[in-house]
Amino acid sequence: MTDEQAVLRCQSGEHEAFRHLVERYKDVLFGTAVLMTGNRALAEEQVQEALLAAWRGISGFQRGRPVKPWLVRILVNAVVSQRRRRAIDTVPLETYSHADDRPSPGETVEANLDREEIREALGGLSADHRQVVVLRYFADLTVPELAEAIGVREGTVKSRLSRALGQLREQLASGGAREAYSHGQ
Amino acid sequence: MASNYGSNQEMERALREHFEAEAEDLRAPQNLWQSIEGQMDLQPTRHPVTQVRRKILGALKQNWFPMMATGGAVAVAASAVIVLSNTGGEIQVVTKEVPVERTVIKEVPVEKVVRETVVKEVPVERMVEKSVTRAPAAQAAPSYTAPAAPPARPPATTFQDYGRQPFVATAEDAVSTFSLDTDRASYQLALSWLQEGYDIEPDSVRAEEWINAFNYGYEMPADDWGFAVTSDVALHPLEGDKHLVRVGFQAAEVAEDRPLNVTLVLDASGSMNSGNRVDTARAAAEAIRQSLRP
Repeated sequence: MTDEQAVLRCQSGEHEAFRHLVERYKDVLFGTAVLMTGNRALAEEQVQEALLAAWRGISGFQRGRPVKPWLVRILVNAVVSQRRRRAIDTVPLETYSHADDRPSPGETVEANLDREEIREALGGLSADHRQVVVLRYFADLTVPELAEAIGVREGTVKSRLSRALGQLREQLASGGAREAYSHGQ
Repeated sequence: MASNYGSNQEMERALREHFEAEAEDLRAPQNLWQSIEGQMDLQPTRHPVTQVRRKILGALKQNWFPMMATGGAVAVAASAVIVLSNTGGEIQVVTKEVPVERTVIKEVPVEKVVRETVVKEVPVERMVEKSVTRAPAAQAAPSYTAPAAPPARPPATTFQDYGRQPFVATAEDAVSTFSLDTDRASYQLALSWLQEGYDIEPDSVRAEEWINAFNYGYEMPADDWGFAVTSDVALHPLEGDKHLVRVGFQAAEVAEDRPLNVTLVLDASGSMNSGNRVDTARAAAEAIRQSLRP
């Protein structure tokens, strides 16, 4: 079933067709949400909320347009609106869970260190900058799709991306230098 | 480390590789579809997810947070303690002496509030007034039919606001009791009201039943009959100068295929006279009977 066929069947109310879309895009949506928020429990909620919103809005979806950017846009809205809500309504129940930080068997120690370094550098970005990096290089949206997803002009996306990349390089370079220094001791 | 991110192109490539590796750990939960499917037919105009959350939060703010604040912020969540005996035909409620630990938490003012945790005898006899060993076989479980057009308000309930528990200075009175059951009816009721498009009745929100409705992943006890006690502290989310202390009790889980003699005890006390509670209890007993394996 192509996305277009699935959308058509969703529009006539078929749950199974929607399941098809969910299975195809759930990982990219969940990953995007985790990378944006750093919180798996929250991310799960946001993905659910976004997918339900997509299901309810699917009758208005213009057939033939790409599905992924549309879903990502809904997800971004869910993340942003929840961020706004949470700024006021913090409930300190134990909703936080942590990713398994152990390296997977195939990974070399060095690759794992690289990963950890990049993770840290990403964590140092502002929410806006991290958002464009995640949507561009993880969710793999094009610049025009990204611009539409977050509601800014393409030029803004490009400049944010370029500044984010610069900042990451700077941070990784200084981290690397520190490490080289400590190795030299 | 010999990482080289000299140009933006190299940084881009490194990021793509990085995210590809991360993707392995970022798979969506297996049951995602099931959680979504159950909500797909809810009417969005009346209660989209955000509205539902706001309603829950509103009810919490009205009843839960103020109660915790005035109560010196002590929330006790007793985890499931349902003891079904596998020896005799009668229900046994086993309360074991829990080593009384002095819980003194430094650096926060709660030490004035919480000095000792004392587990007292459970007043079971007050909860169980009459035991019924057999449900009438003729009583069939009611079949559920969705209401065609929901009434404007929830069906009449008998909830009332019992007021707030007063603050107790533990320097003067350090002993507290609680019953070892985990009723979640208040939370389940609120959920079903929301799903049918009603507001939550504020009086129906019982903090302990809402607390017990969630799984907190408490540490399990070391043996089959003891408790594990978990306690922690958090800043009050709304009033930054107060702290909340949580003391959680976890009993052993009952293994699923352990053979059991089950005795159902139905409450037939005066409080069961209102509404159709006795009928509901009978129907529930029958439903349980039907679910048992011979």
